[in-house]
Amino acid sequence: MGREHLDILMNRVIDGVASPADREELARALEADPTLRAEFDELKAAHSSTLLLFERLSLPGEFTGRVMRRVQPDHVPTDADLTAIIESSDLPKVSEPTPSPARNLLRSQMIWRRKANLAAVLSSIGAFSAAAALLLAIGMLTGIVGPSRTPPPQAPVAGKPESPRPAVRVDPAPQPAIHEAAPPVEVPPSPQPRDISPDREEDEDDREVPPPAPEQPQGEVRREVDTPAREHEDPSRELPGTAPGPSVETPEEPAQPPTPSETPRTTDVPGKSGPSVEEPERRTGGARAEAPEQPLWGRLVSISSGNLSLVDENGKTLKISDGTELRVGQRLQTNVNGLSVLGLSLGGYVAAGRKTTFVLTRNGITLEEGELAVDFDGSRGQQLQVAFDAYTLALTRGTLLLEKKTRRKMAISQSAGVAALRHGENSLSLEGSLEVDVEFGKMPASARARAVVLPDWCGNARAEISLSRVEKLLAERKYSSSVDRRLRSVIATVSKVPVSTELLVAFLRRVLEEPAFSVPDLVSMLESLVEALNSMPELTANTALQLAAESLCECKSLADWVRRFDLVRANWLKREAKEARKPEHKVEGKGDSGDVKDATPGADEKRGKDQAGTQGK
Amino acid sequence: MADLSKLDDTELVKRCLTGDRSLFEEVVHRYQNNIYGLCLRKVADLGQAQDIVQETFVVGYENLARLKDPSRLKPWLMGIASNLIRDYYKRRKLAGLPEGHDVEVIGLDPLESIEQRERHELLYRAIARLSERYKAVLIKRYLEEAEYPEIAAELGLSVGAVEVCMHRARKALAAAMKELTPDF
Repeated sequence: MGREHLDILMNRVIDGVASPADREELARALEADPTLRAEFDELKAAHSSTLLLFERLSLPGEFTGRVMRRVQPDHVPTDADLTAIIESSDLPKVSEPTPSPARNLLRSQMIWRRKANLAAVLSSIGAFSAAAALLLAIGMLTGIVGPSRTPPPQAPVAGKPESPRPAVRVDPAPQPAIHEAAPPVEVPPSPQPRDISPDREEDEDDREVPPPAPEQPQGEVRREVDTPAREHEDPSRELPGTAPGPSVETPEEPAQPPTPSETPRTTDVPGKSGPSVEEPERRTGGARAEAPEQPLWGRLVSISSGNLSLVDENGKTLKISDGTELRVGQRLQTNVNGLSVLGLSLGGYVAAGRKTTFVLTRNGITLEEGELAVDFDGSRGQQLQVAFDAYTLALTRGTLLLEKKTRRKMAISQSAGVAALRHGENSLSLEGSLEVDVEFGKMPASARARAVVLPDWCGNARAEISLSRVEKLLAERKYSSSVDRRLRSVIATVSKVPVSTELLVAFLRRVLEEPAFSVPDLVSMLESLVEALNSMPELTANTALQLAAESLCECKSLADWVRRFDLVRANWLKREAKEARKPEHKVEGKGDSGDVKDATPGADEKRGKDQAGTQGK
Repeated sequence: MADLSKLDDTELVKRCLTGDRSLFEEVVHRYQNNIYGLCLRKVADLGQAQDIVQETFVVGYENLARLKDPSRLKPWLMGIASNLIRDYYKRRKLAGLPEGHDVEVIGLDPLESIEQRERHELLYRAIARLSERYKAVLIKRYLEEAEYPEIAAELGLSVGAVEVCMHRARKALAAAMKELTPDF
């Protein structure tokens, strides 16, 4: 095997474009050559760091809009700009499957604001004229009464100037701009901005009015329109979407071009095929009218690299950012470098790998393309349903990875937990650490028991989840960047083995909440944990973590902990050996009968070395 | 917008020139990453690179009517960007500033943690030290998200050669990172 060939293989594996044969070939080569393994690890680290860096380096989302504002100062932003503006503004995060209403709302505000500016300018001119006329009238009246500046009590009866109404009578021309329904030239003819072609409106309205700052909050528009006679304002001036009510006239709707949200829904995505009753609301009320939302599915925890987008039924995508609420029925997609972590309301996490498309369902998720890693603790007594093709994988608890290998094949790797694969009336129970290859249309006869180690991206995603949950505690500590790197690396290593995220987070919390331990101490503890997993094949990851946590009791230094951890492990081994000698305690299959392990979520993990060692080496 | 993305450059330019100048937005959207990639390869200062990209489109917009062959829109814009980069270095020379790459990373997200920022700066410096070809391959793959065949076509190489090149670029990057941070 030539060196150049190996280089290409490493490259393909890192890029995620390697075939299974390539992977196997490389795995063999890496096993045989530790130097090559070290080189491969370095390359992977460089790849991950570069991915992250370029994510940060990319042009800001509103760049196109920025350029367009320079070349066309009266430019009305497009969907792409609006997406960026929505994401960076205080507007509520888009949680609907179809983003168009939010965009339309914002665009309407842009156009409306310009019209409002124009109306305000014209109204001001009118107000000035009215005031001038009023003054003139007062002057005339005071001239009639006499030179005295204080009119006698009876005099005003003839022409009392306090009320603005007489002034209007003196010069009625500008008044309608303030008090009455505005003439078409001053007030936008329709409150529905979607009637207005952006191009046309730019030319008409923006000659005198500078382009508005897109960051301006939506309430600004009304303030600009407000004149001293605001109470007489035409109610139809209400912004669509901001104030639902009679101001928005549905009869005008047919004139509007249909937006994506209005087109009939053709997909059968759960939650998307809403009743048609919603449609008129959508048309009339803009983003706010979409209030009857689907149940909350969870939240986007983080995007580690690439991007994650909502996909509507027309295939249009809208990038979403960390913290966005996710709703049942939404279809999401990662890009070529995508890696995102989603938190479920049911408890647990889903990490989506590159080029992955999936739909959020009421009880879980449907994988259409790509790869998903699911980490579910089942603490709320529910099952997580992971669907693909005509199969359903009901996960009671545990960690598993689903990869759509080809159009017809799916690979399931369960590193720990309890699940059931169902296809029609057939069902296959999955317990412990195993792998299953599913050929669509057929029910696999059995699963291969195998110590599954999650791939790097999955380990990294799980590590990120754990780190995000102790972020605050870490922020309170001071430690160097090299310690930070070591911490992330060791947590990623631990996360690749079938360890429960909950247990890992609990352990991290306990250590970080104890002032006696520093972050480097934590790193050392985790490294010892990995070492223990390497050296003790009997130890499962969860048990090792439990013993590590147990060893924290009454420890005031790292040295104490190390001593205690060794002792606790030795005791555990003795106890296990003793239990193993008792025939009545022997359990068949993959389950484990150890008293410590039975109490853990990982009790059913495959006994034997769980490959932490291979990762740690 | 969905239809616009299907328009070829010739049609897009034609329509821009026949009155609908707002279609230029699609031009910006289509080529911003390519031009940014070029600028990042030549100008290591992030802020400057972004300014040059913006300026490129402004100049392109103002001179669109002078584009003789609309199908060559991308190379034409790249040419503008190259000229602007040259001007930038000329100005620097006139101002008495040293030639070559000035590695400034003042465009990075200020909200990043210090460690992250430090790491990104180091990596950015490491990329700036790579050879032109390695940088081109990395930027095309990571920033422009181009697939290997696309990169191969643009750089006039075979796909295999791009793969080798990418591998060496990553290796060089890992080495550069190691050099800059021994504990990497």
